[in-house]
Amino acid sequence: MALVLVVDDAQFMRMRLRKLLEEEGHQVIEAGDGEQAVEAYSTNKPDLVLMDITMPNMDGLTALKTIKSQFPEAKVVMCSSLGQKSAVLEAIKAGARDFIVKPFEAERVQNVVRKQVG
Amino acid sequence: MHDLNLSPEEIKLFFEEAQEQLDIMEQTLLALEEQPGDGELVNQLFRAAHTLKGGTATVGLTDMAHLTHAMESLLDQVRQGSRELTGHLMDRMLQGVDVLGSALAAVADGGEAPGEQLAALAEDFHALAAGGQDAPPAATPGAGGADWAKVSDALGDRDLPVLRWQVTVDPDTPMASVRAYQALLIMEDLGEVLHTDPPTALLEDEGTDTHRLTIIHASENPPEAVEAALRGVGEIIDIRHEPVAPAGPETAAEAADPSPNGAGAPAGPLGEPPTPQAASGSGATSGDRGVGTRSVRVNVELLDELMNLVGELVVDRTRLASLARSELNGKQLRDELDQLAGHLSRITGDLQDTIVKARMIPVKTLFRKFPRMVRDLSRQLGKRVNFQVSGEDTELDRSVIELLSDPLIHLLRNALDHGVEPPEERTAAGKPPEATVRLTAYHRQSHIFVEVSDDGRGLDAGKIRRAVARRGLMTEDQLERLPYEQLADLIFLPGFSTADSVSTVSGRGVGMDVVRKNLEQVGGSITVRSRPGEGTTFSIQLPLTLAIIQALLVRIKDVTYALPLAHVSEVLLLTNDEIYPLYGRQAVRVRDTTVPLLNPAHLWCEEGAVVWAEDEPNPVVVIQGDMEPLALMVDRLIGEEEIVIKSLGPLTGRVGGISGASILGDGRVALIVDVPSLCREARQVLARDNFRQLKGG
Amino acid sequence: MTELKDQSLTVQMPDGHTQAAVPEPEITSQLVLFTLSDETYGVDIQRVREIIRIPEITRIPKTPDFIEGVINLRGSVIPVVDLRKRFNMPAADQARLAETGRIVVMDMRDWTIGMMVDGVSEVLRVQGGAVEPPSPYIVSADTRFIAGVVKDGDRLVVLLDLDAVFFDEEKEQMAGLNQVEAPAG
Repeated sequence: MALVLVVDDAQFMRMRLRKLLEEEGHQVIEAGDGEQAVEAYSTNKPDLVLMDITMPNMDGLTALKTIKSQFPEAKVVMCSSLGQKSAVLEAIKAGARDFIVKPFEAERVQNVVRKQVG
Repeated sequence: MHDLNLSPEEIKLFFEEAQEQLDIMEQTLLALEEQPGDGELVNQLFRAAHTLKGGTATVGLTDMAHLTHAMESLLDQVRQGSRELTGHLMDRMLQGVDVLGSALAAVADGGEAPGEQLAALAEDFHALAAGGQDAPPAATPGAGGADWAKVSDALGDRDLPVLRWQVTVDPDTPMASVRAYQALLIMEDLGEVLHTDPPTALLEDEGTDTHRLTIIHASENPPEAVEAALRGVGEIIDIRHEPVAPAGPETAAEAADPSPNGAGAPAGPLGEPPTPQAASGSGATSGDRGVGTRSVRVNVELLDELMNLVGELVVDRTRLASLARSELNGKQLRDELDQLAGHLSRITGDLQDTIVKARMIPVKTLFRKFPRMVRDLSRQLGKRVNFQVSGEDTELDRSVIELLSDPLIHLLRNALDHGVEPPEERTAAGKPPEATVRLTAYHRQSHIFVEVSDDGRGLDAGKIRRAVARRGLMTEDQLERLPYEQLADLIFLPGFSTADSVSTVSGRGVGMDVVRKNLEQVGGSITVRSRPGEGTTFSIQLPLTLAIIQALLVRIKDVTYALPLAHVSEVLLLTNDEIYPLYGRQAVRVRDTTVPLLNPAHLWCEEGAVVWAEDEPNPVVVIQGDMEPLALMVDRLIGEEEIVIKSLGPLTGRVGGISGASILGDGRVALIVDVPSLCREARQVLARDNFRQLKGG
Repeated sequence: MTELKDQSLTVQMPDGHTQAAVPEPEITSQLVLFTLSDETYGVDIQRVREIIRIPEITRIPKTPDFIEGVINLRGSVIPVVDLRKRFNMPAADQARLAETGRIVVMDMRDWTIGMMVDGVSEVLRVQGGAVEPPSPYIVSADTRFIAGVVKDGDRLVVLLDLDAVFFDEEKEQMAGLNQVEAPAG
């Protein structure tokens, strides 16, 4: 149904999320860091981005801000670990739509995605 | 304060005495409300302020000293007759006491005194003293007072509906406060946020850990739309809203200070924070004061007695050591040891008693915060109350006192909120407009009784019946047949609430099942007596000391259980022919009453299955909770013993019928039976089975 | 070289509740490893109070299956959880259990709780970055009890989320209770 960009530096994570999303009938593209994410967004204009926070090269928060500055209507959901509360808050202030906390449950991810893309 | 050369003892002493002075000031002010113009009380008040000023100045708490000084000056004018101590001035004084109390607590915790707040208030007082004009109590900054100009603007001029919303995030979800922040952002998008609690700044700064948000919101959008949008944020478990009354500052103040919300404040066992908020809108509340009671004042004689006993122990220890080295053998050794054991037993017994005595403190320390709380609350609710406290010198073990705090607050608030009628209603009913609420404590045998009674409306039988029927807890039929006295006890059923509306004061209005459960866990109980139109009395019963009880040890299957002797009526050995069938159940005759027989298997299935011997006497223990006794079948009687109660740790309260554990002489663990709870459960189970049998199914 | 610092693998939230934390890459932690039916599990060494042989356990009636009962630990009464039952694994070989079985006594925020395990093997030093989220295919225990996994050579060590292990059940029960208390208006 929707095109979702999954951003995380751990391939394992991307694989897991891909599986969850494809199960729901979505199409998935991947990016391994913030820089790749920004590029992937410009090229593909996905309906939703699932963005990890801690990544090399460019982190999730910076990527979020960059993407939002060029594409204000972008829908980004942050994926955070515990202990990153301040980053999450800042992300929300910077326009992230929602957030999920790792380790996450399949159902929760699917719910959040559903809420954003219908 | 730490720059001065003060020893820890001096600092501790300062805090204790400062707290005392503040307490005296508060009590005296309250007493003055009843007897204005009492010269001696005014002097007392002045002296307390004076002493406090000296103390705070000495330890370098200059802001506090300045405020106290300002209050002292005013009081000096009063006692010299050049100023009248009006009700308004007393309110201001109480406000000062509150602010000083919070400041003291803050410093005691290692923090800083709120300099600005203290200075502002001091200035007010100085202005008063100089100019003689009464200033209205100003709302202290950031204290939870809404910007009422904005609210009345929205309500009056722009005619926008204003609602107070309360959004609760699942507290277990990670980063709950970020969810709250998301909710706030949505509210901002959908209208105008006039006030939030906790304040926006706090939410935006990751420092808070709140999961409950209260927002006063003006919006053209219909509430359904706002609610739907809020639900879009994940992990929200509750959303509610109510209109904010447009009328004067009184209701406005109430609306701004909703039910003890204190976002992030720890909830008491009743599920709501126990401290009430003063209606004056000041940031410091009367319940916040209180430097922790980590120390206890002990009578020097008790300490001497303890020293003596320890001395005797040392003698016994020496004796034991020498016996170990001696050449004695066999019978001689045994005799010596026997004697020693006897002596030790006596000494440790005395030691126990003495320490228990040392831990006892008068309930006064617990009761002292109530007059203020009742006064503030009755003002807020528009009720007139004569609050009487008696038995304050009754002594209780420290742990028991701490336990009573929350239930009593709950009961008093319920009495004021639901029990006591507004003055007009009382007069119409032929009662004096001022209600009487009594708080009493007394000893009887080895128990403490604490009672809260009011002469208000009494429990509403109709409401109780309806609420119980609605929850399906009992059938209409059963309810009809219950006499009023037993109806009253139903309010302790879990999930029960008769509040028709969410009261801003007591929250839902009940949580009685939790109160009862907590009390029963420590061997206490709570009962209620009520007469419609005449009033209600709650009676809490507690053992004198929590830690050690006399119990009857029994064996059921392969576990040892301890039945507190306080709940054991009799022990019987019964044979088959002494059992009577009774309405499909089994019962036994105890003296001249018929008591239902209970096999623990009814409650604990296989783990409790006692086997009844057909041709021998079987041990049966008659136990009694709050109501009628039950005859409990056991496998074996072990004997009476004094046991030390150990908590079940995380299992506390999660196991029906067991309130704790104890370690026996042989190292095994015995489970302590919570008799009242067990009896209740047993009655339900037996009634159900009985019901089924009658129906033939 | 950055200093390696030992850090707890669990984090105490301001409301007192504990959660598993996936530490930053530079931090190392120590895990006490134990086995349950051929799988290796680990818990933060900072929360382990002691490890004892299995003493007599007093069963408490009508408690969930996985709550084995309580024990006397030098004068304190401590509840013991059977992890196999908690994770819905088949029962252990009694003979083996009698010999190698242990109770790992854990310090939770306000309580002390014991976990019954097949055997305790060693202490392993782990680097934060090595912790990964669990995949449901690798371990048989419910993922909600798991904070993460660590590869150690060719074995997988599963990090437990102790709060979930001990307290989740209560939350489920409480959730059930809350249904009864519908707002009266």
